[in-house]
Amino acid sequence: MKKILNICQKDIAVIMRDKGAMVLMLLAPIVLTLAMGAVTGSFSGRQATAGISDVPVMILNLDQGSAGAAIAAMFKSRTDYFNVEEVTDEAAARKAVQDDKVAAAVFVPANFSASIQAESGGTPVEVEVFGSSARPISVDVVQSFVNTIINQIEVIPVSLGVTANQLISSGLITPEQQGTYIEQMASRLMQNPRSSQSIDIRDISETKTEEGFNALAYLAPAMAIFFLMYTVTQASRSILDERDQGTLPRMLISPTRNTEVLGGKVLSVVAIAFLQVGVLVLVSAMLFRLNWGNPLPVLLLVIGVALGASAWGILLASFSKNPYQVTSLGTALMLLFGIMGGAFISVDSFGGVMKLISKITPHAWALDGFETLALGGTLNDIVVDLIGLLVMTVLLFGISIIVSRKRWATGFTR
Amino acid sequence: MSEPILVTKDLKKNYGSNQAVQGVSFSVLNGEIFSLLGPNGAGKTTTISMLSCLLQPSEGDAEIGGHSITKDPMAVKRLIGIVPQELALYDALSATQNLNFWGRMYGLGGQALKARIAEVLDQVSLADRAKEPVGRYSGGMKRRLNIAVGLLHKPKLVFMDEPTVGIDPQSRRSILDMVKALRDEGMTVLYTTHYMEEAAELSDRVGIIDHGKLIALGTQKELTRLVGEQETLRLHFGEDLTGEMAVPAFHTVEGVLLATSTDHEVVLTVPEAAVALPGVIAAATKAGIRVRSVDIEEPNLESVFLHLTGRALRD
Repeated sequence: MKKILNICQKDIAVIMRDKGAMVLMLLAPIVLTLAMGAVTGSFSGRQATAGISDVPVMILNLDQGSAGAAIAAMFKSRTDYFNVEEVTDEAAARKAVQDDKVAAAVFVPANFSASIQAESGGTPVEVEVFGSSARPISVDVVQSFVNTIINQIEVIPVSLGVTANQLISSGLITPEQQGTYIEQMASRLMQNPRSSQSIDIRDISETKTEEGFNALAYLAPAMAIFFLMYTVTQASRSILDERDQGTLPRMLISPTRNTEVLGGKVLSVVAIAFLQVGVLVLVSAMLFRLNWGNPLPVLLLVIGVALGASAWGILLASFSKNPYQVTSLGTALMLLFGIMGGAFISVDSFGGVMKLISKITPHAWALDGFETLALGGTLNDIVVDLIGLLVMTVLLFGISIIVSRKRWATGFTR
Repeated sequence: MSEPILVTKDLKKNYGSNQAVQGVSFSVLNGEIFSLLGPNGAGKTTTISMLSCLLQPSEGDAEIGGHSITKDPMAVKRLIGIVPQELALYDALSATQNLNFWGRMYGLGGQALKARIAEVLDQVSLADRAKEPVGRYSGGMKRRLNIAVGLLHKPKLVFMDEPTVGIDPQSRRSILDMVKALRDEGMTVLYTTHYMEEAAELSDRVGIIDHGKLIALGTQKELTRLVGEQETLRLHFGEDLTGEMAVPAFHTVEGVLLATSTDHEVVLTVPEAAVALPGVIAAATKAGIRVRSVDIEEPNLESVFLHLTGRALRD
């Protein structure tokens, strides 16, 4: 273990003396966060355009039934978050979104209620959320709110069906009365949003002020993780650099096992990644007065994303023939993962397939977790994200060792 | 000098169909400087890599301090030190930081390591530059630090793989003196080089290696006896004449046993230089060859190599 730590310590010392690397690892993410924060108005005090308090939303309800009315009612009942206007003109609503006069327009189609209550096999109709690209956070929240309402509404006929069966078994209603019972009860439940399970939009408990949610709480981790891929590329590249420079063979000639030498190099990659994200968390908390959330889950998430990203870096080094290949591939991966993983546009804006594909990036899991924690989430709320990152780490590391078995066995000398 | 500290037994290394080392067997005695002399590509570094347990031999084995390199590599690694041909140092770190790191890789630590670092820095005359990043060192200084790393843990046997490549004459002189001092302190050194002069100056015994085979082994006296009492006449020409153009004129000269050429020289192996010289000059005059100067050389390792292989050590 001492030798593993010795190697790790040496690698950290070496990379800290690389001014170029330090700029890209620490300075660039902070500068970009600042720039993007300025663009999104996070420093301007116009929190209505940046966050989820007072989010302007238009609702066009074409539904004839109670489900559409329930959606509108639920939005209107949350005056703490939404500033709702009911409209009748779809084209005007879309224009308002495109002109950034509102964050989003919610379109409830005709026959929405009927499609929910229909027998299975009917064609579902969907509620559309048409969002402004300039307000990704707000759109995200509107979409999430709509999804939550719909999930609850869809459950109502099913749960009422179960209740009806029990009433029939008890002889309180007849089978012929079942349909009428479900329709009336569903209508009543949907008309009264308070009678359904309340939808909990978590606030930032400690900083719930007029500011509300700070968009930097998304941007700061996004930029940290975007540049993390550079860091793990450089750190992993050092395995091949040291092979070519002769220091890796020299380590292998010392009375040190291959596993210790390579374990030290792998630990270096993870440690450097952890330090980078950790420093950025601390600096952004101080500079931008960001609340990342509960410290323990934040720490675990930082460890998780460091592991996940490092595993990608190690995979690159395992397959590359020389250090330059690691850098080229790493740069491509950095850009691709940044886009796919939500560093620039939230993955919630993606369609189903792209959203699924984004899960191969450590970004998608980590940003989901950081966003949850910044909104007041707890450790329980990010367990899935942590598991995702851990599975990614184990899988990629396993692939690296299995596919490049000979390389690992000979200490990368072949 | 007494028992062997290193014994190699038919060491072989193949890379596909390429036999980089073909059945090399030799021993190195305790306290001696043993040189492996051979041209570039002869198999010296591959041999060292196998002996230092970096490469697995294709066949054969070796014992260092009684431990097999194939069966007990960890024990071997504790006994040996290596000064590799490449400068295996971290340019971003200082000499002290480099030595600290490498010392810990050999299990040293604490005050003992600190004291030993100070000792080796004095030994290689780098104590006054110890805190500077190695990237700022000259080539010679880096070579000396490279040696310091190899000696840090006081190995029983140190492998020095062409430690003077690419440095200035002053630094080379310093390193050669250092190697001799190590032998005087009782350390055993296996030294590889393609410079005949270094092998001649340093070695107690020399192994000549070519194309992966050990073609001769012994003291310098024993080796030069292989070429008999032959001497070498080295004829130098001007820029307008290459050795290759001139050498045919000397093949038939009486007393010339072997005629080879390099650049602007012809090298003649003769039984006795003083006797052969007049005939050689006459042949040159007859062929219209203007000889600028003539050197007479007594048998040396270069001539041994030439005798054994028909080629110069540095082609």
